[in-house]
Amino acid sequence: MFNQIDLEYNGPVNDPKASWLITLCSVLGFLIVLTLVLLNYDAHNAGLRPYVEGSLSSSGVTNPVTAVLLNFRAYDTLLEIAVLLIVVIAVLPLRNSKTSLVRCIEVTNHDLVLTSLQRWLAPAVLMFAGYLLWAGATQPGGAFQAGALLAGACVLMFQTGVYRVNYTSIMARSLMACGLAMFIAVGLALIWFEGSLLKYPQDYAGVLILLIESGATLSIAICLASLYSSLIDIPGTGHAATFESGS
Amino acid sequence: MNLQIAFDVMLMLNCLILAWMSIFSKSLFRCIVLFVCLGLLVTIAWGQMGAFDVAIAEAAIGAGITGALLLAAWNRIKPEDEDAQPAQPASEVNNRGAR
Repeated sequence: MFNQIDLEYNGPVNDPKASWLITLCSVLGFLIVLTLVLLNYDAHNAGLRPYVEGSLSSSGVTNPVTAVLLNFRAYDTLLEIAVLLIVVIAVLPLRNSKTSLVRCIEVTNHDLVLTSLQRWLAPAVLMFAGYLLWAGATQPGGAFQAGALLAGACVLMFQTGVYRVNYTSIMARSLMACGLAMFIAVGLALIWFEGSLLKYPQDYAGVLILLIESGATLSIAICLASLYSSLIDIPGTGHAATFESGS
Repeated sequence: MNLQIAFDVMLMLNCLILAWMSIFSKSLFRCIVLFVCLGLLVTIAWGQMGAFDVAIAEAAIGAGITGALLLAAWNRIKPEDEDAQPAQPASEVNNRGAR
């Protein structure tokens, strides 16, 4: 069953019928459990919704999701960004830190379609990511979505192989850490001024949340882009393989 | 109202079918493409439920970045003798030879 996925094992499937049966039973059981849970769950009377809506005015933002993520449960988000940073450190390629952040390499065969797509699409995506970051205070949007969009723009720019990013340069490392650093700095400053970790004063809550989100957007973008680059970079040769999206 | 329910049921069935196809397709490449399609359908499902934050995140990460990551991984691990794929650019062939 999984011989397409497990690339080390080339022999025949040991017992196809048993594996089909196991998959079918687990999927059916899971579906039944999910349906029962959905039927017994009353979404309108349970949960923390009234508490969130009640204290939304003191959170500095008007979007309840952003309020929960960056004000009421800011500690969770801090740890999530730390987890992302740890993952990126684990996959970071071992290379010199001498060269600059982005290098341009002369490529002889220009792909006209890809180049014009980059020229038209990348600025629009950049603009939209900034909009999502800004709109996160009042509407759906926020740091993670904006960061993922920025990383998408980076992936688009990597396609021609003209731009090489050195993820071990000082600039890239500080960009990766700036989200967590901003979060911790704000938290420590709030301990100093307010006496509690990440307890925003009501007047400055919106500004502080936007500050944290801006740092988080940058580091999420470069973290996701470095995850992509660690896959397309061939170790040993030191340069990226050009990746054909159509192949 | 009835149209809404019909749309929801169709969306749900399509999600299940695409999920099944994205696991059990013959070719790994087809699995990846179907997985990206599944991400887009799930985005519509989140939008139907009113969770637009999750919908944006799903579209950007589930369909965009994850699809790119999976395709890049597939590009590195695909079998050498897969003749169905078009010819690789020269730099790619050199890199894979050096690996």
